[in-house]
Order: sequence, then structure tokens, then C-alpha cells
Amino acid sequence: MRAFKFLRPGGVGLFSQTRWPQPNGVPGAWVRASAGDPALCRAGVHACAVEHLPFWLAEELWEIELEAPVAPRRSKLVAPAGRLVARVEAWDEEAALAFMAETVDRIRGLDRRGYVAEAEIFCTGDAAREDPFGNAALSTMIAVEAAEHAGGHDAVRAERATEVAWLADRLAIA
Amino acid sequence: MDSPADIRCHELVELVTDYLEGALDDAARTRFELHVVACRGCANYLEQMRATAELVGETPDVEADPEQLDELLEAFRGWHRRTLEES
Repeated sequence: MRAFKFLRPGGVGLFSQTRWPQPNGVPGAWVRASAGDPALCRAGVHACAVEHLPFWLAEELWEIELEAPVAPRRSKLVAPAGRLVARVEAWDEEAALAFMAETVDRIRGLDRRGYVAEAEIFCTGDAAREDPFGNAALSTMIAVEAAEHAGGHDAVRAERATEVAWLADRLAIA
Repeated sequence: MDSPADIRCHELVELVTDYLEGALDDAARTRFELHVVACRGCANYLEQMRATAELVGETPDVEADPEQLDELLEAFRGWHRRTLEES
């Protein structure tokens, strides 16, 4: 199954700190979840369907092939093994900044003063450019909290759906 | 719905040791990681704790000198007595 995975620069796992073998004309080597290594999740290799992308924003986005059986969870996919297929080059600093700008606009629209202030401090101007990927992730947290205060679970679902649609369109991965 | 706001920063601090030891169940681990992805402060804290745990793990056990150990124990008992007397 084809899915997506966010990694740190150099293809490093966000939490496992595993350096993923990169494709070189052919897919990278398979990485298998390790039951004995507490740094790796015992449940399996984690990846994203398109609807999971906003939960895990980071510097590099990769297309990944997952070994069956793939278990869908609310915020991720879990599989016994995976291998990187290709980098999604459209996810870059410019895309992260554009994503963040639109997210901040929606936060402003929710008109919750504390959240607007927090978003404007960290997710606009020079502060946003200091760490575009980290602050793009932060903008989603602020947006979800603001949405929950403004309109409860329905507003949170609407915010997540908007983020997913933006990423799918911008990255052409729908 | 999973969200980085499902746990707060002060709650994450309480969970970090269990996280590093692999003691959280999958749902709690996911909530922990969702928060860390979005919160730079907690990401930094996690890295500091991970580095500390690695360094402490490399420190060899040192046998205490018996005389020094007795002095320390006596000092502690004295402190404990005074604390009880003052309370």
C-alpha cells in the first residue's frame, strides 16, 4: 500500500531517530518494526494516509510503500514494515509557509483573541520563517484549539478537513 | 479526534519517563507524539531528557566508602530528627 511519511532532515524518523534508507532509482531498503527496541514503536512502522498529514508535519515528506497488513488508526497507519519510494518535493519551506499563512488566517477568522495572539507571535513574519516546518505544525495545534473553543468537535473536524484539502491540492497527492 | 491539544505541556512532563522507557500504551504514546510534533518546547524537553537518560546510563556505579556512607547516614538522621522536633 502506498502512503506518506514525514521525516526529519536526512530521512530521520521523528521519534525513532531511525535513518531511513533512501531510494536511489529503486525504493529504499525495507525497515521493519522492532519488538525489542523501545525507541521504535513495538506496534509497527507508522505512516500517513492523506487525511493524517496535518497531524505530523515535519521537514521532509516521503511516499512510502507499506507491507500488509496495514492497520488504519485515527491519526496514522501502522504496518509491519515500510520502504521509502520517493520524496514529495512539493513539500518545502515555501509550501510550509503558505500552509501556515492560511492556517493563521483561519485562526483570525475564529476571533478567539488569545489564540490569534499566539498564532501571530509564532506563525507570522520572521518567527515563522525561523522554523517553517515546526511552526506550521504549531499553527495546526493553535487552529484546532481555537476551533474547539469556537465550535466544538464539528469545528475541529472542519479545520482538519480544510488542512487536509489544502495539503492534498498543493502537493498534488489527492 | 486525536489532537496535539489532547495533552498539555505539564501533563507531558509527567509522562516523559514512561515514554522513554516504552511504558505507554499505543494510544497514550500517540497522544504524546502528536503533542511533541506541534510543541517545540516539549520537543526540546524530550530531547534533553533523552540525552540525560543516555548519559546517566553510561555512568558506572561507584561503591561508596563505608565511612563516608556512615557519615552521610548520620547527617541525614540528624536532619530528620531536627525536622521532626521542629514540626
